[in-house]
Amino acid sequence: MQKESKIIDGLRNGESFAFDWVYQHCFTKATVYIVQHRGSSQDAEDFFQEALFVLIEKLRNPHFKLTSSCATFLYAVVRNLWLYHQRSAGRIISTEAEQMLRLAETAGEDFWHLLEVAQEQENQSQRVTSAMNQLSGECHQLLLLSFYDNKNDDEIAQIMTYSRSFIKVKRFRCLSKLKEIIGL
Amino acid sequence: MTPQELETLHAYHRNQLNASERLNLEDKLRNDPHWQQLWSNFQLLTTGIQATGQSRVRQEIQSAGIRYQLRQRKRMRALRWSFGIAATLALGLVIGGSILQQQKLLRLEQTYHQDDQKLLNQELDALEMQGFARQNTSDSLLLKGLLALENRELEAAVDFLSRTTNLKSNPVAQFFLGKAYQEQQKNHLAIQSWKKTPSDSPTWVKQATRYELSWAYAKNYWQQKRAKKIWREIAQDATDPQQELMRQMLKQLEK
Repeated sequence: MQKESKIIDGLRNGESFAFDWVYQHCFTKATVYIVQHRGSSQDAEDFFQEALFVLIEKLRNPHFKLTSSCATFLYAVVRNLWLYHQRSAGRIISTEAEQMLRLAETAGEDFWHLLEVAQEQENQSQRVTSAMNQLSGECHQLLLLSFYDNKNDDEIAQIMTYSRSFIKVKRFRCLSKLKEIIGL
Repeated sequence: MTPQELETLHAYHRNQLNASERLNLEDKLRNDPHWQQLWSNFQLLTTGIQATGQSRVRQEIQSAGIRYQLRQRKRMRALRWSFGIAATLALGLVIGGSILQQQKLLRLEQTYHQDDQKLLNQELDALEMQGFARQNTSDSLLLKGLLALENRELEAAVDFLSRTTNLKSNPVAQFFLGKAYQEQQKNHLAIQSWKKTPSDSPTWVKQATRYELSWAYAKNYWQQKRAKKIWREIAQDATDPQQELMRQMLKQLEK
């Protein structure tokens, strides 16, 4: 149990040993399930990675409490994802397309405007992502700790060995730099 | 955007403002275009940063997947190697063991096979005494066969002895026909001949046949169990002249 909590912390903090442990102990079971249900080993790998991503996103939420073991959780997610994939193969796609057409008919020009806005937001998000790679390593780390890992300033100060007041200044500078790169 | 504005938005984003600060900010976000722009930019940046974080996690997951596959491949390779080595060793042991066993048996055969000639001479003496050499009867054919065998004329020996056994059942001819075949290195024919030895044969023929048959079996690795079975029978048979010999040989084999 102690080991499991270590693994969960490791996954939350993106530590390699935790990912390796999860692969070592949970991947085979998921593969067996998918292969037994008309999937390939490549499907098993894709769905296991997706399930692991779901688990990590859940773990990042401070209110989430994992009540089962990692292996059970991952197996359940893989199973559900695979069942959904099996059910929806060929059906959902056509339904989505039909829904889009129906929306386009009813909403008229607004629909296309909303679609454009969504597309624009997607593009801007991609621009931010590529701009992040142009920042210095420290800025990159600081912004991820602040806005993705949701660490508070004390925790960031401890990780980056900065003073708490400098964190605020540095964050402002890094965000300004990011804005400058994307041209906001 | 000033540092203070950023900290306010960051605190609002993390839900860390108190009630009055939150109401104040939400009012500004509804009515003040400057703050609306700030908030829109802030959201765009945080969404992008979060997407970067997610892509980092996906990369870590993929790397772990690759590491896992590499480890599995390494493990499989090691397993295949160890299986191959174990199989080779096992095969080597079986082949080596069978060769050693065969050599041991051949040595023992050479050591213990010297009595055959005595048997042949005794039988020849007996037949000559009876003066059947010139007759064309079963016994004369047997005599001719035995003489041919003694002179190492193996084909003639086989011919005479086969004819003898064809004329009528003759345990002595059957035994020496087996011997003739053995001399010709036709082990399987020798075995066939000895296996045809009638059950009412004289005791010495039965015992000699049993003895020869065991050696013939012993020459074939896959029939050595049969040979050992016969040797054990001989070793337990007090009437068999080879009993003591077999006991000693079995002892040596067990070593």
